[in-house]
Amino acid sequence: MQIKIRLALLAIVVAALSAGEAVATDDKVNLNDWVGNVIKQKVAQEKFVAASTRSNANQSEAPTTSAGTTSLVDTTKASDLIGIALNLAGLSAASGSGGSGDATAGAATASAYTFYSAIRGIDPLDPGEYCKDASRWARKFSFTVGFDDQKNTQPAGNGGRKPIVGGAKALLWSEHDICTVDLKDIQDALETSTSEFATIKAHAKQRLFDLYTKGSFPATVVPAGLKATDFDNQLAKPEVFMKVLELLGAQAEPILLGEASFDEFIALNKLVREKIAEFQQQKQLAFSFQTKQREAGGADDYHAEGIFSWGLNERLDLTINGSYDFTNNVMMSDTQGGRIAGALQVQPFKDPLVGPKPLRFSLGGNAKWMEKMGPIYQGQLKVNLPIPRIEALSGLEVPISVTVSNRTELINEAEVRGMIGFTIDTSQVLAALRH
Amino acid sequence: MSVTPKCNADDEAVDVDVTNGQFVEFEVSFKGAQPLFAVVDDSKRVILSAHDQPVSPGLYRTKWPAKPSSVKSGDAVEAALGVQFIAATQYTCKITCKATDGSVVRVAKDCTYTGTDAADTFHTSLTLRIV
Repeated sequence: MQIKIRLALLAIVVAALSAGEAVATDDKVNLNDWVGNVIKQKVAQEKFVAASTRSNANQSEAPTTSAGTTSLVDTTKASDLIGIALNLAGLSAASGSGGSGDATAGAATASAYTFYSAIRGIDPLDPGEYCKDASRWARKFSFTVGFDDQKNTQPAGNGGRKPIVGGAKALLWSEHDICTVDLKDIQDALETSTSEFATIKAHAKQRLFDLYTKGSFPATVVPAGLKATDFDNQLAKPEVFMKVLELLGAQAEPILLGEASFDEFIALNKLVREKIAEFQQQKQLAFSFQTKQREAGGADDYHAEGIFSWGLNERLDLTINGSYDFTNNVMMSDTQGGRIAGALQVQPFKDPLVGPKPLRFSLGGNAKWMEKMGPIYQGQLKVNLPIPRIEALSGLEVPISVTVSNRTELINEAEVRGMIGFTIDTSQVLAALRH
Repeated sequence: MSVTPKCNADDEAVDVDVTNGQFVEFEVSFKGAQPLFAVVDDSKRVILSAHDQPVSPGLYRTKWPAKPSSVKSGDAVEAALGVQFIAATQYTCKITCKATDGSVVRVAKDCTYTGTDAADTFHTSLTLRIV
């Protein structure tokens, strides 16, 4: 019953956070915006996932060493600055045992770039620093420190402080780097389309001025006797331009744009889409080392892991982990084993470049074999909920997961566990605040 | 709109008295990994672009016209700015008409453009009228 109530509360939270993103907009535009909007319609631009400094492949949750994490897999990258994850509540029901207690875990992950920029006193988001070799190298390394819940981990601890989780990760290989990728073809197409924009706009202004000089616009709309420069500046005022558009009615577009071609804009958009797709579908390989240290008398865990991620298409990512696990037991002989895990992450909606990360669903599996213990098989469904509407909170998200296990490390009984967490990507928060 | 402009000044046109030494200064800066921008006129002449050498990291600047003799009184040149957000999150563009001694005659554009999507491209323009 308690679980049902909690899940119902979660559903309310989910519904609230996922509420529509419709934002009231001002429909008034000036000439510049109007031409831009027409071009956008002609190009019928679709939205693509950002290939910039913000990445959904960044690990925002506590590492898998932590029993209380909302994630079954580790990802190849960390936040450029600091990522903080807190698992606020655990909903656990071990079948046949009447359930177990709540789990909480937390971790902070900091890129070496954080320390590097702090020591040098530089702005970590400054373009003059972001792509320097040292900065790029520093972003390949990250460090994690956190705590885990005692109840969900190996026995033999004395029940004092929570186990400490620590680790380091190195991005060994990545197909593309936003700092070095060749964007010359896009730059060339941008120059061509920008020139085309200037031509379209110049013609539109000239046609409007011709109409003005012929007395087509009453003085109540545009003051009489203006020279060309002042008339142009009137068109920068949305209230004036909207009245002009109203006077032109359905003929506005043919009058202002004539036989304008939009091919250059379509070509630019195509190049950008292709480049974004390249980034989306790149492969990355990372190595991670994690440890969980318990107080004296408790078993310590060590975890060396290879992580591979691959964007199968623009909205579907695959992550695979393979690890060697070692437990240093004090009261009994040491044990070792391995783990294989994988997750498919689906992103149903567009991914804005700034603002909240997109809503993401993932389906994961984990198989772990350790000496002197039966194999553990787990399946997981997870949703990562962004916090919409509030730009300053764009680096925050709420991961919610439900994990089914054939057994736990403590008990040979099936378990269903729900977890809700809270993650902060400080590089995003900082960027949002700067906007 | 996917791109949010925030402007302190956003004129459609500016008069430039080239015969008395006035000129227009274009200045573009960005936030992010790589800039993709261009200031191009309606005769396909590139005034300033990401291909140019920055005056300082992330900051590009040029004067127009490069040769005052290339324009004459009565000319109107449409100068458009195009910015693309695949590798940058923000661009700032300032277009200022200045006197021979470098003093500011008029700030015609002073806008910051923030992208909300990597596929975003934004264009805007300004008419430079030679008097």
